Amino acid sequence: MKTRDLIVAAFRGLGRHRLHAGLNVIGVLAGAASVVLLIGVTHAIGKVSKTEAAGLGSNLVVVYPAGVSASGVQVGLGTASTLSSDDVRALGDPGQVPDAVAAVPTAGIRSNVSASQRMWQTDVLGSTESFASVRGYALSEGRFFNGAEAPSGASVVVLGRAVVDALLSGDPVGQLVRINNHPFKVIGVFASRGFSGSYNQDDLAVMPMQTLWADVLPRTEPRIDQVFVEATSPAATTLVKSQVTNTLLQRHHITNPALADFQVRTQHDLVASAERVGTVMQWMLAVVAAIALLTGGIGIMSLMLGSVSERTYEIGIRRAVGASRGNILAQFLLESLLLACLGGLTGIAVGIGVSSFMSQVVTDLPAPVVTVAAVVVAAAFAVVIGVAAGIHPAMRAARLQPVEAVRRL
Amino acid sequence: MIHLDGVSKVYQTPTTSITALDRVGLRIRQGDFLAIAGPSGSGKSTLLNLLGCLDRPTSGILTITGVDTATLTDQQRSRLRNRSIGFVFQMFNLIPELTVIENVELPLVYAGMRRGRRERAQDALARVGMLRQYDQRAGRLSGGEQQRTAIARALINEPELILADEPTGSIDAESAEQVLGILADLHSHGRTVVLVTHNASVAAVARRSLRLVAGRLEQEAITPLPVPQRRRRAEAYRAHPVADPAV
Ligand SMILES: Nc1ncnc2c1ncn2[C@@H]1O[C@H](COP(=O)(O)OP(=O)(O)OP(=O)(O)O)[C@@H](O)[C@H]1O
Ligand SMILES: [Mg+2]
Repeated sequence: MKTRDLIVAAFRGLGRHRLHAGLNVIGVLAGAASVVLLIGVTHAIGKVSKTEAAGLGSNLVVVYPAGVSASGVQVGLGTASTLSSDDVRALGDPGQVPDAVAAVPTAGIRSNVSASQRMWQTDVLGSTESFASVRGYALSEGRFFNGAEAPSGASVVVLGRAVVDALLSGDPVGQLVRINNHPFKVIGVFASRGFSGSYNQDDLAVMPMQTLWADVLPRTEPRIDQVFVEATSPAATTLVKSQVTNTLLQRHHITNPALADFQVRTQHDLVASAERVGTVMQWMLAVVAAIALLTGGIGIMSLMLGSVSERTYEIGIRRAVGASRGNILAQFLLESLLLACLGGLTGIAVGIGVSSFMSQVVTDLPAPVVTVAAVVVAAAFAVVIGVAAGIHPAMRAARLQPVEAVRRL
Repeated sequence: MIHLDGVSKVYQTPTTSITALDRVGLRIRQGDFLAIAGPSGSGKSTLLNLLGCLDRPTSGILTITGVDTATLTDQQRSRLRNRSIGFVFQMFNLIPELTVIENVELPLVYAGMRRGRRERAQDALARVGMLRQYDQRAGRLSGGEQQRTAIARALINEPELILADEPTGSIDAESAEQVLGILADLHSHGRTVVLVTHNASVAAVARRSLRLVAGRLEQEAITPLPVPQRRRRAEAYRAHPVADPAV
């Protein structure tokens, strides 16, 4: 029997139960689509979190108070920070942390900033005069606040480019903006840095820490969300990490490091945890895809088994006019393979479609990247499922005795 | 051409075992036209299925063209069915979803033929007067039309042996005449024909006739039609092939 005739026979077989076949194909379709999507998303997330961690600056060590997760998200809202201004001062003291250049605290809140009739939501941060140099922000206009303004609680603010573009026209320096109903004088604008991954580094407003506590967060206790400690060189970060840890343990009177009420992270740590996130995503991908593909495979298998018993008569006729066991096996195996490939191909198309749709609609999340590898993996899965689901029904069909099949009661 | 020696067929059911054929001995020569009659349940279909390699005897030896069929692999048996045997069953046995011509082409497909299939199928359909309906779904045909299509399929590979199991059992008298005429014509062209039937007048078209009773073979009591009469029937068919406007 020629291959072309075999394919024709398989297609004719599929045509017999189109609706049923279509329903069962959906499982494989979903499986293949999720393989494509999730490989794409994992790829994107891995890339983004790495670039975000890398954008931090390679010679920085970050200290988080207890109650703040490693990603900087406040967990226990309203609880006082375990880090104090005196801690920050100690971390900036060369006598206690010899390999540090400076230590900068930050606290922040997502808040509305308004000017004349316009309003914009941004990250409002409080910090000290060393913020710009430690975090690597240059100024395109005006200046950053100085050591005299910082502790006095002056009502001054330095804006990122995105905030200026959203709110102000003309020369921004000297204009007033309102935050939490307090007027602030714009004294400088950061030079644009663009995106780091999905994070817009130009969307922020920075003011003295005392001012933030007094005017923007008057109802909560003064708190510090993070302390950035600048090491003398990238190579010194590990050393700084242990110096910082020892200093804070001593200051907080903690003897067991496992009970520390703070966390210290280098850039290296952050990249590693980003990679861990990637690995977890990959496992989730594997589980979701496996469940979908398994469901699809079982669906196809039951469809094919039903089809074989429904078509006993047809099998008998084919056997009587000269089909061998091998011919029948091949016909049914090919039918199941076709079903799975149909599901696989539409699934891949759906996956690609959803990916491109997501990258257009969702702009502040990493958009999945469709890779050739993802498509190949999804297609390979579909083929394997098709063969695995088809082999048992096809063998049952091939084992039918021609007489049993032709005998009609 | 075909040799049966002490052939028995026993069907095992969960409760009993049924001896459908009991030590049957039979010789069928090339070019023979043999009718097998007998009451219902006497084992006629069982015998025909063994002759057609659709089933295997429980015991005894069945040789076809000198080859012991017990020694053949599935592939060899399939090839034998495909090249040397043409089946016509009582219940037509067409695949209802396929068209008439696709059904007729099926043996050529399994023979691995690629080119010229359509033409040969058309020739076969013309011989049984079914060319006009070649593109119709087989399931939509009348009984007589289905049976003629099945005959076209049986003879498309030019098999030496035609096995017909009550080919006239489910069709009207006129269609039955046509079908028997076609079989007689095949015989006159040198084919070996084995025809199973309940009906004595149907059995009469054959050159010789046997009777099965409860799985045992007996010589048939009724006398077959005299040779000139048989010849006349075949000639009548050749002179007036079934009306087919497309031919
Ligand atoms: N697959 C089977 N399993 C069990 N018993 C069977 C099987 N096939 C046939 N038989 C039995 O074998 C006996 C012979 O059956 P067979 O079909 O050969 O009879 P037949 O002569 O063709 O009858 P009919 O004229 O009604 O077609 C019957 O008793 C039947 O019930
Ligand atoms: Mg019968």
